[in-house]
Amino acid sequence: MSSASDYAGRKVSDDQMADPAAGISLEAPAHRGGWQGFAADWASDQRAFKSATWGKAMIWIFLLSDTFIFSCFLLSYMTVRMSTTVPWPNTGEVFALTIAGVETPLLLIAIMTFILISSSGTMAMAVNYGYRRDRVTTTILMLATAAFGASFVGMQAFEWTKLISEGVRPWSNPWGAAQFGASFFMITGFHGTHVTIGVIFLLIIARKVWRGDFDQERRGFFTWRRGRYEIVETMGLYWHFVDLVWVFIFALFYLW
Amino acid sequence: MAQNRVSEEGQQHPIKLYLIVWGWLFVLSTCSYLVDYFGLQGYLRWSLILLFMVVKAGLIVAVFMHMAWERLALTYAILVPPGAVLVFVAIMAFESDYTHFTRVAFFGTEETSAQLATVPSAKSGSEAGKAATSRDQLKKEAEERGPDVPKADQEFEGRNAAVSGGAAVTKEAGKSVPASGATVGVATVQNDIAIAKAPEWKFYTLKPGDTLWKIAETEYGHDHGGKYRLIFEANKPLLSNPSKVYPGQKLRIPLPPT
Repeated sequence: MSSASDYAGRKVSDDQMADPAAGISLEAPAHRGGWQGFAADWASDQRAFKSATWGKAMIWIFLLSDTFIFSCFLLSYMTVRMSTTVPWPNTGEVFALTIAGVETPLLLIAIMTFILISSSGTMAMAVNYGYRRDRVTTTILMLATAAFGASFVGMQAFEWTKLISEGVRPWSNPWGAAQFGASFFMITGFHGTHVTIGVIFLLIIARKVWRGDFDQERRGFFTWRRGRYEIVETMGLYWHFVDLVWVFIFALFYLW
Repeated sequence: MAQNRVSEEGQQHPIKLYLIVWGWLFVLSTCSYLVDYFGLQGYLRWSLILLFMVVKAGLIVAVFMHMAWERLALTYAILVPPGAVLVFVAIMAFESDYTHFTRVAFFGTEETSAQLATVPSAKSGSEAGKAATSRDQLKKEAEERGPDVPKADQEFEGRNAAVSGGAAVTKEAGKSVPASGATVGVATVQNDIAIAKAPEWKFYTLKPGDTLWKIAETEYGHDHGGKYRLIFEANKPLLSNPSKVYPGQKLRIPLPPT
């Protein structure tokens, strides 16, 4: 039982009232036909994912749908690249960075990759410390993750600025196939948006961890559901997914 | 009580495990970067890039996202559907191959120079430049000849497609053979022009912000930025890379047909 007895006690009774499983188990298992049966079948309380809570199953299904969106982007990139008769720009040269007079191919992209991997590492540990109810360490690790993510977005903004100033547009570029610009802006832009949203939510959840929302089971502003440390893992799943997508973008768009 | 319940649901693994996976992700990323850095090419390059990509993705999903400890019901529900994407990949690869083939076959002349330039040899590139120039001059002559212009034009297009390596002799070209009086002379005319007529240039001094693509668009028309290769080929000893041009450089611009 939670520490705040008065507040927590009232909430527990709320939960029991709202729990649909308690009522359903008493009903007779007669199966109705027609539309009522259709509705009853789909509304019945079945749980396929025994090891995952409702929240975890839903974030996984969201990530699955997001996978299809990114797949479609990478697929259309593959299609235009394979079908164009104009040579594709050499990404090693396009994304080269000149530091102290030495031109290194793909340097910025490599740094961005390492930053995103590092943020995944801190996020994984944040989830772990969250389940240990170590409020301070979890908050620090989540803030570190958010900082890595923000610097990633910053570097991406730098990269976009550089390419735009060099004349890359969604419809043309100085080095070859016109589809290069469209693929680049679409894929990295959509990924960067994901990172940005992730950073915003990392900050929101980190604040909640810091404030002790999940120790007090404080209710969410929009959902009115009890705050639980599981949300840190949900956040982590989203963040690792963003890193996962970058693995594919790095290999298929930048290195290919 | 509540605390126990929550901790039981959560994934509990030693921190050391995450650190090891983190380290491996660094190593694998470095490896895939080195593939590009050392300029490996061919099947070795693609297989290494794909291998590192798959292993990295696997580590992230299995350990960081805890998929290794979930029940199979969830694992299959999430990991099997993306397999359908691979079918999609195969379909689109087939489709884009076909698109590429038809583009080369029917619009081969439009991209002649760029196409041949994919072969990294200066010789084939300059030949492509000549072929394109002579085609334009042929068009000009055809226009002077009068009534047969459109058909003759198509004939030249078809012929040049064959020159460029595309296997297409278009229907129209075939039809125009008996109709066009100029047809017989085409091959000779083409050769004469390519050899006898010196290529015509004009000079252009690069301004800040200029790219070969931009110049090609102003010189050859808005949709012909792809002809930047012609300019590049014409300045080959001076330029080593189409993307490396500097303000103040004086370039030879092959003249478009008037």
